[in-house]
Amino acid sequence: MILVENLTKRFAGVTAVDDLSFTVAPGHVTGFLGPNGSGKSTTMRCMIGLDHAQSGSATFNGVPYSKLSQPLRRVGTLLDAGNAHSGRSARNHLLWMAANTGIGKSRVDAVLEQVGLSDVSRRRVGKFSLGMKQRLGIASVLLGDPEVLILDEPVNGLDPEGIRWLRDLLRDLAKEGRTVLVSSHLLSEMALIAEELVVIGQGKLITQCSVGDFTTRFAKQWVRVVSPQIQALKSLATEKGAVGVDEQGGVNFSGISALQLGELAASAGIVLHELSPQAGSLEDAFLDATASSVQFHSAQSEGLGK
Amino acid sequence: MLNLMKSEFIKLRTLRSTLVATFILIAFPVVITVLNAFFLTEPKDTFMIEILTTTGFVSMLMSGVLGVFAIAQEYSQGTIRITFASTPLRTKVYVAKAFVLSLWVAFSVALLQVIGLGIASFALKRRGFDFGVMYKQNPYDSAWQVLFAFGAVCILFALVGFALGALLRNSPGAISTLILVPLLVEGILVGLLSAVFKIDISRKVPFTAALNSVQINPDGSRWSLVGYFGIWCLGLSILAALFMKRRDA
Ligand SMILES: Nc1ncnc2c1ncn2[C@@H]1O[C@H](COP(=O)(O)OP(=O)(O)OP(=O)(O)O)[C@@H](O)[C@H]1O
Ligand SMILES: [Mg+2]
Repeated sequence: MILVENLTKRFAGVTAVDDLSFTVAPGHVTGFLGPNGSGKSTTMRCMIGLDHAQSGSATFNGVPYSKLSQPLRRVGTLLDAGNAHSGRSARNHLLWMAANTGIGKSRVDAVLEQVGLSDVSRRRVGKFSLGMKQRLGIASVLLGDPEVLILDEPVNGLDPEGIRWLRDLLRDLAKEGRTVLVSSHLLSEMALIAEELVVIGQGKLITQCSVGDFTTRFAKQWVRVVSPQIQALKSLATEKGAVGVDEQGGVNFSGISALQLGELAASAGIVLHELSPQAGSLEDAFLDATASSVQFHSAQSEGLGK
Repeated sequence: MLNLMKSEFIKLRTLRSTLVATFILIAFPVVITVLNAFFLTEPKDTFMIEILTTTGFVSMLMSGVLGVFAIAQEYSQGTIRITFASTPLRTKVYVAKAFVLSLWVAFSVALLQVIGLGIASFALKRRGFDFGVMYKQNPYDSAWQVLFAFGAVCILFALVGFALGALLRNSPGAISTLILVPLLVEGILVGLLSAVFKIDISRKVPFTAALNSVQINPDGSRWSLVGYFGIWCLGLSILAALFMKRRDA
């Protein structure tokens, strides 16, 4: 369980993280979403004490990171594609990390195997592709077998096979009862990995909720209708307060449900060729939610009030 | 602490740049000393030590470069984040790194002295000079003291380089400072102050004191010169450790 409370981090002139609070529960993957520059990486650095926050705190099962003994065994972190020295081999990189925490060499070889880098473990990291560096970073997160995992854009640079592998890995780890926080701006990907979302914009919390709730709350919903008597239906619906927009041989109605439209058409004897409820993608929901910081406030209080 | 030191040792041992710097640190004085022992026409009894310690300026600089690498590369490559994530107590990290670095340099210097003087004394004996390497003429001082002072100064150079690396966080900047201050800045400062203000600070500038301390006949007491350089080094280290603790990684 991760608890972030009122975290604020200012750099000269920029407030990167602004009074941010959220929780990350064990048992499922939590996605940490926000547009570029919204403060995801900064939040993660503050959580593990690399950046000093001006105020607020982050605790891991009640303990701040700096008070953890052998932190690599408790919290695994992946920042900036692993932060490995380009002149060192992958294996040596993990070896010094392991030595630091008293982890044996066999564990190093095991995690290299697990992320599929065994064959290239003695090659210098500088020769690695971005995807291979990510895999090494993931190996370093797994090294201490931690109960909490924090990963900053781990999907970056992975091929489709790698993305699927990571998704299964993170879900399995979460199922074992671990706490997993993954940041990304790839929303479609996040929708597949995460069950819970923490969405931020300009350093502030927009909402914390499940993926499903997020889509319902922020994604546009409309009903698509195709009919030979569409103009008649349109004027009837408009009387009920709905808005119809012509599109591709049909009309998209918003502000009215498919059920209402169907009954309306039946009562007026209008023939329907298509009547289908539509929802915007998570991508659209995300863009909507983060469109302006003015929206953030109402959405935030709504989210906290429920 | 032992785990931390082990991990710092692995870091030094697994990088080509530190190995190359260590190789130069050892090889340069050894090669020059050995060549002289074989080919100098009229060797005096003090010259082996003298050559070893004057060519040893390269070793001092290389020790400093090692110190810079030990920390500045961590910042430039991002590994410092993992280091601090594994050990949130940054002062502890600083001390462990400094300690491992000191041991590394001490071992390298010992190796260079054993190899350099070993081969040189063998060469001199073959050529029929019976005094070997350890001169006996000067009652005030002994060769051992020069050798130990040389080792101490190399370690202090490494720690100064380490502190500069921690403060500046980039290798080129820290290495330039490390080379320019002893070779240029101090000399200019001393000259300027004595010419303009008639103030003599020639005995107060740290690097000059350090280089002076490994002369056969130093200007002043050898160990107080080393100590003086050590105080500067300590001050810089405390400053660097404080900055390291307070700044974002
Ligand atoms: N070391 C720093 N010094 C000054 N400003 C910084 C620093 N680090 C981050 N910032 C600023 O803080 C804000 C948040 O940056 P951050 O990297 O946390 O965003 P992010 O959500 O991770 O973005 P991305 O999706 O691009 O990774 C940005 O405006 C950035 O310019
Ligand atoms: Mg980021």
